[in-house]
Amino acid sequence: MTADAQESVKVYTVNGAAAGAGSASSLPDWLTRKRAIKGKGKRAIREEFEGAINLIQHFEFPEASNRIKVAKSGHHAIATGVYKPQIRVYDLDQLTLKFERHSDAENVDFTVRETLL
Amino acid sequence: MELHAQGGLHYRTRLPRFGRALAYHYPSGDALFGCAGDEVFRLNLEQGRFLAPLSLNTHAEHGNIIGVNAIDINPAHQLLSFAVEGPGTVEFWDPRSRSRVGVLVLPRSLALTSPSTSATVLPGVDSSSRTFAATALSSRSDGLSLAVGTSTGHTLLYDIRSPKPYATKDQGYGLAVHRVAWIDGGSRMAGDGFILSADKKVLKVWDRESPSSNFASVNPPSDINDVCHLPGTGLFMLANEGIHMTSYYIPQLGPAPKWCSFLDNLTEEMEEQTVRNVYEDFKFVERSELSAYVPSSVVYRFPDVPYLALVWTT
Repeated sequence: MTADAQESVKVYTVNGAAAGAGSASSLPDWLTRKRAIKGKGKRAIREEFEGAINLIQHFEFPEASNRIKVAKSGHHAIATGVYKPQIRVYDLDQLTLKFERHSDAENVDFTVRETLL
Repeated sequence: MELHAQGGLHYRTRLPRFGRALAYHYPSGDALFGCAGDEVFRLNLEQGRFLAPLSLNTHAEHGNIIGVNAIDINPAHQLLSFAVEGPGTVEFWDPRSRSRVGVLVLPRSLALTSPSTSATVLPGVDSSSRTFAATALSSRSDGLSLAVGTSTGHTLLYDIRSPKPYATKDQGYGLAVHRVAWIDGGSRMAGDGFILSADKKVLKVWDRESPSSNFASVNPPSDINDVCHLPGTGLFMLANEGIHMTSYYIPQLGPAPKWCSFLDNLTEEMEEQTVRNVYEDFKFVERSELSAYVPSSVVYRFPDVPYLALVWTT
């Protein structure tokens, strides 16, 4: 988990790539390169890598994701993505993928029709 | 249009035109489809058939309608709002009388100040996307506030009783706003007037009282497609052009959701740790001070730009 502090409000990345530049690091590229020359780089990078957390497992699509919504109950997240076009439902209580379902066409928009209890 | 149930694909039907946005009106059971063209199609899920579409073209005094980019249903009183591309308006419809009750003409002056309207037009790159239109809508649970995201990267906040926005926010990139949403969640949140707006590049969280300053802004490494905020928490989920979807947690905005309450402990532990500052070995100096650190012959090799220079001091 990396924290990106700006304007004193901290934003923690709890899934996926950290905000900022690059994929594994939010530090400027030239800065990390300098650390690597000094021999500390490998350790610093590994530190960050171990510190990264993936809150929800399999929170990904093969290519890209189109839409994401959370059910009103707050227990499931539903996302659509490509390729192949598919819907993935995440069980948030278990922090993991519940199921995926493939469709014929790429999703433009979706909504969850929930029974209001 | 596909209807999925627990067991799998329940039903599939075709829409007359290419769809752009979707909303579901609970009291009547109507699924509303904003499409290319001047009609909003209604599919009643109880009767299982299309109803007469809401035809927007009868009021096309502001220009030809290209499509409906976004649909919003007010959670308090079910007023339908459609972001209409072409005339650059937001139309309000009453679901009971199925008639237009109001139209909001967005200030076109925003399109003139946008960086995307440059003098050079690249054919095939920025010819068709030049129309000024609303691209995202979100009404607040109080029933009166409406947030409108535009194709020029502005977010306008309206009180629906007034045709003038009471707050305007510029994303700064001139890219279309993909998603606006009110951040609600009650007393445990940092404030009750927060709103999020996201274009392709940046997600911004800000207070409606002070639109010029960000509460937080996040630049993910890959382009944003959609943002979802979990009500009552400080957690955001982002769908993007990368393989991994991302989620961000802002403890100062709200608590962690129940299903990951350990996040609060984790972030508190990180707060206690001494944070290694990225630039702690550096000192920022102005150009005039630069000669104190490096010989003047080196100074003039720096490009003549008004930025601060970085000096390695240790």
